[in-house]
Amino acid sequence: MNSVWFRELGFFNNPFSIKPAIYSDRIVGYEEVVDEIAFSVLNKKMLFLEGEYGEGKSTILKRLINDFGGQKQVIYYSCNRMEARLNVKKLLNGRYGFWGKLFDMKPKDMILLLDEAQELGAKDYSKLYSYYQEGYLKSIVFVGKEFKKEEIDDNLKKVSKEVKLRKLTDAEIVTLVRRRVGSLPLLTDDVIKTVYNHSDKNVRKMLKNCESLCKHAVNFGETKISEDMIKEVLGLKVEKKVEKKPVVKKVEKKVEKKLEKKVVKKKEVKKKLKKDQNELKEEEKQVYKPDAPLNIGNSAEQMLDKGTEELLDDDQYY
Amino acid sequence: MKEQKSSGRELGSWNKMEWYEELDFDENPFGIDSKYVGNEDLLDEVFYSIMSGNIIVIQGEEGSGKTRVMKEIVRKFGGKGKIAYVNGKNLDKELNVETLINKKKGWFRKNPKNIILLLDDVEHISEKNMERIKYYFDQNYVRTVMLGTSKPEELKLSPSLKQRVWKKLEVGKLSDYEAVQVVRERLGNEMLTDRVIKAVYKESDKNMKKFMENCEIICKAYIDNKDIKEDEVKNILERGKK
Repeated sequence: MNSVWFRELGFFNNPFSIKPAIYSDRIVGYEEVVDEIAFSVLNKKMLFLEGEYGEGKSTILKRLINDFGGQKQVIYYSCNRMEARLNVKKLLNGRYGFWGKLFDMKPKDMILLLDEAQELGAKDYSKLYSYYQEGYLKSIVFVGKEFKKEEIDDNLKKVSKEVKLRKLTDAEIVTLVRRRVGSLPLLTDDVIKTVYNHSDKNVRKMLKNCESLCKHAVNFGETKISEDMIKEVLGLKVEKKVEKKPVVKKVEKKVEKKLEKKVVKKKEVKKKLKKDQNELKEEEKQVYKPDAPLNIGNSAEQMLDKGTEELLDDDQYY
Repeated sequence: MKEQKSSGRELGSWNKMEWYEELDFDENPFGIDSKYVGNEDLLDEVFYSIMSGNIIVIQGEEGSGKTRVMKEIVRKFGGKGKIAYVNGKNLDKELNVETLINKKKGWFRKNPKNIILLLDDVEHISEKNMERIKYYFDQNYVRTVMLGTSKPEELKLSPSLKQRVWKKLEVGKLSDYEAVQVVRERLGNEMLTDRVIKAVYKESDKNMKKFMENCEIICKAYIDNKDIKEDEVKNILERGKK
């Protein structure tokens, strides 16, 4: 277990982790979205941010926390967190801790960032609007997949804006991965681009696919990621070249045949290798060893303990 | 996590010997956890997902050894308040991750991080309730989540949680040879022949839970009859069930 692939490459933690960072100013693309949100927050207006799963909505919120946080002015709340309904009063009181709850103290001019807000109903919206009018809330940013637009107050609609996320371009994806991994020779720019296109242009899927690719490559001891490997790991069907064109020049055909032969040879070699490995494994299985310990040692446990301790305190107040 | 089964003696029967005591065991050899045999690939994959922090789904029929895998995790990583195990069947109300985390808090410690969450029999938990895990996973309170189900068709995950799942693993069935190894691990080399054990494994449809129960029956028969043969296994099992 000591030889996890990212430890072998020199990373301590999984560089393709799909958890968003707690707060960061490193964000790729979406500069215009961040600007727009910041503009509306400073002008005391509402904003609805829509986007698909795994495209970086939460990451944008983290960026906002980094920009506006510091004086306990920002409340970050994920509506998914509890079974109960959104309770704004409790959120506001909680800013002063124990004494806030006792004496019902409420701060003014707070910025509320609501994550996963797609399930909010009409009641919640009207409540939020009343708090907004009384001046406790300076501005609210709603983030979710799709909002129920019938339930939103008309008054609230007047002071609000809507923003939709676009898809990241190929060049931005490359910089995103490079920020995480650095110039890793395993992953070339072309590989990153093809993986991104194969995963429906979704960032989270792309990260997952990259992780499985790197894991596969390191486990098999290869230094380069070929196209065949991408297809193998991502579970894509290998496209057979069927050309329906009637007129093909003879010279081209020959070249094609040669190429095909080469490919076939490579495949055969790979199959042989696999067979050999399988046989080896089977042989290993058949050896009967009652006293040999399973590969359960202290090592992984120790490595877990070293773990990452730098992350958050409980507060949703920044 | 060692389960110590009480010997189950009543007052009147104190002078009776349990079957395993007659065979010179202190405890029921099929009641204790012993070394994990077989399915090493699956274990490797599971340990990897814990190291890298991913959500994982484990599928398999009832009694095929999902819980056994989770116990193996507890054995390796446990001991420092970092693992929470919840069985969906035993939940009175709904799953509440926050209270789970707060239980680990103690008096002076801050909120714990990097908890490993093991959820068994997930099909009993509703879809909306499962979605609550997402927040804690994203905020890194929970390091990895393992979902074990025996009915993968009934498992309904919300699309956003589905996207986070790293892999779906299937608990495979052991080969005859590995089944023999499992029994040898518990009973030692002298009792029962390999052929008998293989026959028992066949009779119990390659299901580990049934296999363990049937082995007990065979062992009880072994006290009277020291050389059991393959052909007799079927009869003994039928008699034992009655």
